[in-house]
Amino acid sequence: MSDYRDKSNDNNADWHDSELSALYQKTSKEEPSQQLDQQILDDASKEAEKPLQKQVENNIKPFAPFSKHWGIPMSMAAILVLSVSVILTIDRETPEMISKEPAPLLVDELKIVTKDETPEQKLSTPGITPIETTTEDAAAAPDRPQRQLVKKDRGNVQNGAVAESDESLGLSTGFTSDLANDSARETQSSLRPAESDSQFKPQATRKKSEIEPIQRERRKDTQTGARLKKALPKTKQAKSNKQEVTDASNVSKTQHDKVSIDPVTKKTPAKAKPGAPKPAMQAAPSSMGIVADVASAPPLAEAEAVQELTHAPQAADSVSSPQESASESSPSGTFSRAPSANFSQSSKQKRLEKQRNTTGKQCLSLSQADCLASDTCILELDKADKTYVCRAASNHCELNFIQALADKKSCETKPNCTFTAAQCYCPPGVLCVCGGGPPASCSLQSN
Amino acid sequence: MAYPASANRQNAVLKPGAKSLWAYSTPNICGIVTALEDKAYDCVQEPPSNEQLMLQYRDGNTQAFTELYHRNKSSLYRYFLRQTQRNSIAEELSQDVWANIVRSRQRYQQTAKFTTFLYQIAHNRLVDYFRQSANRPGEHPAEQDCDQQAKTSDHPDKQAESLQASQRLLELLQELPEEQREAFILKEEAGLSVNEIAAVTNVNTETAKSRLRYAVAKLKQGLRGFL
Repeated sequence: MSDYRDKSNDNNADWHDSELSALYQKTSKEEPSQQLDQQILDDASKEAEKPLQKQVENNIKPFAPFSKHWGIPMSMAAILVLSVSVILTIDRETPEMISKEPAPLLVDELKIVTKDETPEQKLSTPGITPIETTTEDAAAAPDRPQRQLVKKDRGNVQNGAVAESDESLGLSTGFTSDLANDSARETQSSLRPAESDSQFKPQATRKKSEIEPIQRERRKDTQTGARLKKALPKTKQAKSNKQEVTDASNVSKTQHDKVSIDPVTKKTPAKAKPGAPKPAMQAAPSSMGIVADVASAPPLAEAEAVQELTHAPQAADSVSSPQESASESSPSGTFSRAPSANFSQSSKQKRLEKQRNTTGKQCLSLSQADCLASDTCILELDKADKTYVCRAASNHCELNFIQALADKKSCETKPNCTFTAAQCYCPPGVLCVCGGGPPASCSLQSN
Repeated sequence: MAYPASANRQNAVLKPGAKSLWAYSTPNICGIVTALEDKAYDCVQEPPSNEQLMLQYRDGNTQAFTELYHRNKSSLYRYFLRQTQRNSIAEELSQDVWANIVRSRQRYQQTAKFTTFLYQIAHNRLVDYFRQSANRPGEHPAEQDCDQQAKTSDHPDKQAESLQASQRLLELLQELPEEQREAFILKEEAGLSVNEIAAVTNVNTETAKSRLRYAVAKLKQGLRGFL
């Protein structure tokens, strides 16, 4: 029907001329030859006689994956597979990449890292060295040693100190705790005989009057150890630090060991201000030469738990600092009696100066963050150069004052010390509104 | 022209004077009615279309192909002859096209007219031929075939006025551009509509119309004295 319409339209159109068509039809009489006709018809009949199946087989195209027919599905499948694999790869890689970066340390963790290192670790981490603190300095921070005690005791001065500090180091350096535990086990095994020596040998030589209070204290410690178990997990600090929670069970044992190590050290706590929290076990010396940490500020609950273990400071003025006693401990790991009142003032000063010199050099090598977290180094703004310089603490106010914490209380509890808050100081790597000002400081009041 | 009969043919009764019998083709109402009522009717069946013949040939009916061939061979041959102006080449190209149809019969689908299908193949073959001949310096399509020249010059005495006009028409046809000539031949020889010409030559309808219009105008102008 449509053909008919087309034809009729065509016939009426200007491209059609009936006369011309008629003339052409008269002209067109040529025919192909009979021979050609016969040849074509023969070919057609031969082709038609061929079995249909064979022809169908011949017409079936072989599977050609790169032909146009398969092109689109194949490319779609390839795109799908590629995109899925890329997504999976990204999903897998992203957590690893994140975990490769060291986790940002909390200020507390930084503190732990800097405090709890063994001498061996300190050697491996430049800029962090053992520091001895004077009795005076220790007394200036009466509420800090308690935390140090807990940390020390948990690992124990002899037994677990290495392991614990290894773990804490692991936070910053990426060492696994397994490695640390291995080294701790080795250390434990090597130190146990010495520990027993240290416990019994001195006692044998002591007088009865000295031994009796020690025994009393031991009994007390065993009782309070259990209480400490309960008390510790409640602390805020324990919440923030999983290590403390998990190691809480060790605390009682280590406390006991610690207390029994050296009775002399119990006398070391600072000048006890009446009513002030006792710097319990701050003087706990380690056979490894670990410096007592007096800078940490424990939370109240922890402090209470620790206070039960503390021993009343006796004749604090006449006793030398625990660091001194630690430094004078015999190389074999046994503790000798601390040279309490025998130290002359001049030798003390010399030693302090020497220590400051060595610390000063090490402070210079610290980064800003480390310096802020250090209790022996002070980050100061050089007003002339407008650069930050890390120097050793020069007075009792600066000593044990951790700038990162900016603890006003701990500063102002020290005599003649004034706390100055940071003025537009911006730590490196932190986006701040302003920067370039001095960090928090605890300075000595100048009369 | 008589064609071989098939099983259906016996049900149809040829009317005397009927031009041809197409009863061998597809079943038809006429055949069914006669079979049921056992009654003879005068029944002149419609001739099967080209498409039906091609489908029958696809199913193995060689007679259908013979019929199909005889219907279309002359127009196809002349299509090539008008374009190439050589008998030998026109026959060769025609043979190629029919061979192609025979080979591809299994893939034949009745989606368009058979003539469209046929002349599409012919057009492609002609394009190939022109490409090949353009690369061969010895063979130029414009060269007149000696046989063709001889044929036209064989009957100078028989040429009447109309024949002179026909001759003039053929000459004018050769003077037309290739595309316009092809469009005109497809219309006159194959009887294709403008749309079908456009489909065969792969151009849009307007282009086909334009080509036809120009061709007709030029031919009419050339034949002014004869028409």
